[in-house]
Amino acid sequence: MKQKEGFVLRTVCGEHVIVGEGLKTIDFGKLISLNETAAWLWKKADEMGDFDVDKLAAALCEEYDVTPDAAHQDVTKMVNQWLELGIIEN
Amino acid sequence: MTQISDNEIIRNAIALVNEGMRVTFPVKGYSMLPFIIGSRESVDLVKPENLQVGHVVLAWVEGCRYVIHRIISIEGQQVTLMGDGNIAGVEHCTLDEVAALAVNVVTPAGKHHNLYTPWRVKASRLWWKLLPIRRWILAFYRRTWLKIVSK
Repeated sequence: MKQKEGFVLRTVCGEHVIVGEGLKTIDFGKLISLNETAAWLWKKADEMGDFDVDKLAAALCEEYDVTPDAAHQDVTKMVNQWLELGIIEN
Repeated sequence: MTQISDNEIIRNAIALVNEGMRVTFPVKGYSMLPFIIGSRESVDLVKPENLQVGHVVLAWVEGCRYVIHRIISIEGQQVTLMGDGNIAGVEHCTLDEVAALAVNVVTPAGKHHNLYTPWRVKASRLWWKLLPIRRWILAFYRRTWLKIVSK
């Protein structure tokens, strides 16, 4: 999987949000708010370029005090949400 | 959940506009009918330059609130605004308090329509002349066309 082009993580009003950003345009009607962990995962996925649930779950386990099962479950949920929102693609 | 005030969101949008970004911003309310349908359409905001009467702007008015309304007069540094969908009442601010210029209206389908095409400029001028009978046109518009497009 990879992030779709044009979706960028920014801080708006102190919140982590993903914004559809292209041709120097930001749509405030289409901001996707992320919590701290989700924002960290988005940055990690961006660094990886090509990522999958296993890779992200492993990274999450290294960074946070979380069991592999819980990490896998959380990342799967997050990635499915991103797929539904159309901000990543297979 | 963190509650973010409208003014805070607007200030963040203005900061991005000042960075040179074009910001698509949802419009609330019906004060810009019939040219902008609030809660349904958005506007594209850019840095305010070469402001003229007829421009739709985001401005901090009366020292207390933000509005997206049309400029009806500029005298020196003093700017007077009025909502197209209003039948009375104007707002005042200075040129410095005009934070952004609206250049397009954006439909729910994502189509961007320039607010200053010749026919839109003519229509807005005609609309200004119709101010004495605006109340009845707007009432008819709200009860008919607005109900159709909102379905």
